[in-house]
Amino acid sequence: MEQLQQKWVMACVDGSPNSEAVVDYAAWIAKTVQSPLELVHTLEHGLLLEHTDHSGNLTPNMRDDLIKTLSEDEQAESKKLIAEGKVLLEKAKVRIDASLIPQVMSKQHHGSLDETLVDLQDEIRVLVLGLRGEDHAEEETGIGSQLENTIRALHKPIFIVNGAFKQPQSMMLAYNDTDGARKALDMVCKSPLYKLMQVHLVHVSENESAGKALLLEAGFKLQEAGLSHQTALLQGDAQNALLHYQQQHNLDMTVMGAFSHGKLRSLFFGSFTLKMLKANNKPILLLR
Amino acid sequence: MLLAQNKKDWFGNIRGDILAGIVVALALIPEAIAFSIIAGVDPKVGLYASFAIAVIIAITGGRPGMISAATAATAVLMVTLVKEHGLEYLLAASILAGVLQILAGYLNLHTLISFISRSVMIGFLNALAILIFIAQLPELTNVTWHVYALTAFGLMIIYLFPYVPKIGKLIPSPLVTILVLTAIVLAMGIDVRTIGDMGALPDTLPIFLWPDVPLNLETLWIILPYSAAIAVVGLLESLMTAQVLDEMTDTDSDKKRECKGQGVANIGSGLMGGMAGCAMIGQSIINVKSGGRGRLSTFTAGILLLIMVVFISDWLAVIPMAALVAVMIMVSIGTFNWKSIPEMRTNPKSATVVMLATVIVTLWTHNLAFGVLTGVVLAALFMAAKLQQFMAVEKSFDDATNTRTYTVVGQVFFNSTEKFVGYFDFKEAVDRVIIDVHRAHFWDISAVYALDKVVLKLRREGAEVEVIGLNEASETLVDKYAVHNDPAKIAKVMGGH
Repeated sequence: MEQLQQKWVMACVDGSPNSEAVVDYAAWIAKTVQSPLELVHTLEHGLLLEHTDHSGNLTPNMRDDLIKTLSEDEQAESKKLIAEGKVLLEKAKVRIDASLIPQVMSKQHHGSLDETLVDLQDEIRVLVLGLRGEDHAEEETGIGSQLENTIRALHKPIFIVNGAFKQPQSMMLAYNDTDGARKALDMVCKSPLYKLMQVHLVHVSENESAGKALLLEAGFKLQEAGLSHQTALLQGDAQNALLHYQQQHNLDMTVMGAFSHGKLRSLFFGSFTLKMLKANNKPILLLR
Repeated sequence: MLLAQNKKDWFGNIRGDILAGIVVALALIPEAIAFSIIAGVDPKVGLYASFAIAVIIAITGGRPGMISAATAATAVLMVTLVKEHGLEYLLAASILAGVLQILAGYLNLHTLISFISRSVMIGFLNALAILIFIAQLPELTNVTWHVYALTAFGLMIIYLFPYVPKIGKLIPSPLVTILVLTAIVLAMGIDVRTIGDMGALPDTLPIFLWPDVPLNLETLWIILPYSAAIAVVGLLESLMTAQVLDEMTDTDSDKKRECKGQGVANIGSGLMGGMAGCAMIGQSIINVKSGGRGRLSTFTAGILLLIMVVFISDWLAVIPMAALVAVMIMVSIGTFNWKSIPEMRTNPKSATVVMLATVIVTLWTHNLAFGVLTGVVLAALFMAAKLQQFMAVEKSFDDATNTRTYTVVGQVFFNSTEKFVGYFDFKEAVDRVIIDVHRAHFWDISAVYALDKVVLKLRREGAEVEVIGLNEASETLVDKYAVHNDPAKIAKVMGGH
């Protein structure tokens, strides 16, 4: 029981190309914030259509026979998936220097990724996952709509990876005048994760004086927290401005709050996140 | 979240669902016609019903992949209504049944399904199978030998055709039976009854029409008993079928939504000139076997059924009844739980009695609701009789103080109070009596009353009576425990029994 109530840095491991980077980033977070690390592999079941036939008749005891056939198919599939997952989890564990992390555990869970996240949400401190999972490697759209909705409902920090691991030295904190952004700022100030990073506090606004005041106030908080930082007030279209700034300064990661309203709301998890991840393969941390 | 789940339910298995939908549609046609005949209405009533219910439940139901349409279970309830008042009253009764089912959904009555034990469920299915079989008998009595030969040949095709290499698993064998028997009858010019003799077939798409009945209390009192029976039986079969499908596909379903969905489907059916129906256990199993898993399979089945029926109704008319009877015997054999017969020897007697009582009462009343009610009541009584055995009273006597101590252990409730009182010796003359109940459980006020009676009686005999541990014992008295799923609290109340 004790262990279950603990909060974990949770890394979603699968066979996708991003999987190794997911493990590396998760290990880095766990190490830096001194939190236990959990590697989770989900077993997504198919529809068990191997024994389909269209003979359309009802034979005596067909119900029991069909349950038996379907259970046997599913058992075989589950065993296969579990074995494959174990290999993946072992590989992931080997990558991790467990001595620097309080605790490392691996877990397998039946169901799709979104079902798993709903079931395990109480254990999550930070969720680390790749932009595209194994099954969606070829898809252009990135995160599936189903997962996106689950993630929206999940009120936990989410770290999305799309590229090889590089220990972040710098980060961009997208900031505006919303509660979500202020909360994100608060979390950044409190977390040990950013102690060794250069924080770029960035705000996009046409109103120069108000923007400057906002940055000044936020910058003061960062200073109080002892974080090395610089601020930038950008103009123009928020998406492009942020993207451009991130590329220009070659920042190692981006941190955003959950913007409940305002201009950045639609950018929060939609096209902007995706664009950013694709443009520079640097991870994004969504805080709520 | 909801939309995403919806998308998966609808389009998660497009190819499998459409193919299975075709198989199911082909099997639904003979069944819909057969069930219309059971209810005593034109075949088109059952066919319109099957279309309307399948299409609507695909959208409104709580169990993706389950097939609902006109069914035998509901058809047998309508016979007298149709006979005495006619079709329009049946349509009105279907609509009212739907309203009741929606109400049942809002009242969370689906949770009552947990009172239906496995024995009752098997009894339900066996009774349903027998009802379907009995309904075929009129077609098999006072007929020429041709009918028997055709029916036997039809059954042979149904069971053997799937073993034909390659095509056996591609073409539904009931369809082959219908085609072959029709061809034989037409080619040889055999004079047997055909579906066309049974009444009107659909020739147009269904239209929305309010049933032509007077909207007054008199009508309500006529249809209400039928509607209530249809609503109950429909929900029973639907929820049981949903459970079977849950188990089969290892997925969950939304039972509350299913109740309301069945209601909407029946209202829609009544408005489109169809009779009420519910989920069909046989068809749902065929759907799963054929690879149907999503809502699209049910939807496809409904749409295809209508298209086929409207455009080939002339051809439907020449299908010999023998082909239909063969298909329905297959459904009957497939619905019956054959294992339940050898299991009668190995199962506890009480289980067999519950199962048989469900079957017998159903066949007696032609109402599955009464059968299930009998089964449930019997199962509860057997349960009470079993628990009654878990109670004992130990006696001890202390000579020095002239004190008799009774230590009660176990379950005290209405059924065990007589036994409880019987343990006490009222003729014994002692100074003090201690009744220690801290390891007993008082389940109801009968138990408390019995204890009061014992105490009073002992006092009348001149003893000082002391009851120990009544607080612990009566923790089980309240109707709702705040223990829920807390193992620690349950362990405390149950005191390690």
